[in-house]
Amino acid sequence: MSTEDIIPGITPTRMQLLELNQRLELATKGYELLSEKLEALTGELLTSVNAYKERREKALEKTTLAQDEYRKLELQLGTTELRGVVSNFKQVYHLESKKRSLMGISVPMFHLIDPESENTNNASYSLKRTSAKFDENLFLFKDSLQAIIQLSEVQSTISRLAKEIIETKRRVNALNYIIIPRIKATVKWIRLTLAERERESFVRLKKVKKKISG
Amino acid sequence: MNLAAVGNPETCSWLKLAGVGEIYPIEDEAKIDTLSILTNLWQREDVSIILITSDVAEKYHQPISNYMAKNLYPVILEIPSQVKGTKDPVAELIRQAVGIKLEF
Repeated sequence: MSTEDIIPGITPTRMQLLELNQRLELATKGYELLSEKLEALTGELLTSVNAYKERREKALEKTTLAQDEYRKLELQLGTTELRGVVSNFKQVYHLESKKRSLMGISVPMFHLIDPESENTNNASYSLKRTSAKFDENLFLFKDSLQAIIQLSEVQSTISRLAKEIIETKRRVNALNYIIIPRIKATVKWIRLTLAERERESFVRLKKVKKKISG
Repeated sequence: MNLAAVGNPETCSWLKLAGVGEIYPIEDEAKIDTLSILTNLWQREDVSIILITSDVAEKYHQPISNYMAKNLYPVILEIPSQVKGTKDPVAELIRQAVGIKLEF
């Protein structure tokens, strides 16, 4: 511990010492709490990561299937025909995003609003020109979209948690490596200075006493 | 809240059939400014999820990662694909946060 560690602009008085001791106590308490928070957040992140892996695999499986089916559809209907169907397709899903609190961090929950429940007239494509397989495929596509949405929910949870973890880590480190050592160094310095002053005045008194008596 | 998709025409088409409202098929990389499409999308408040196919995500990995590190909304999701070797921004985030490198 060098003199550089001392908080600048502090006078070595008893008042300051008391104040610093209070600050030290507060900083230590804060440090403990924050490290606990960090641990809990990390645990939560790992759980989310597992969920992410699981959902990712599921989504991957479904999107691959959807891709394959789309290619088959293209072969069946022809590229131009299918493009026409796609560009006229009107069913649009909307998202409802709700927030859920996870350790004080709000994470999103997405919910797809089914257009069919709002609007029963769902034939935005020609039934005559498309096959029954097309309808089946639509369900498949929707299914994989659902899987993708679920994946994005976890992904967004992970990114929020990760951000919070980085932030908390920085605070914990700042407390542990800078603020607490600094306060400790300053306390020590004040103690030493006060003791030195006491010795000085003691010697002075002795000298004065000697002069008076002698 | 809406969904949007940016990517190869094939994926965009089936996503449209699945119910994604806005699609931005990238047919010719040279003619379309993908980055400006992306920046426009993530400035909009009514879009909450942007789906990106892995071929686009790979090319714009840096801006996407930068964006994700700073913003939480809208959620940018790379549609999982069989193509290996793409850098996952989520793995990158986890590495920054806990120092563990994960493979998906």
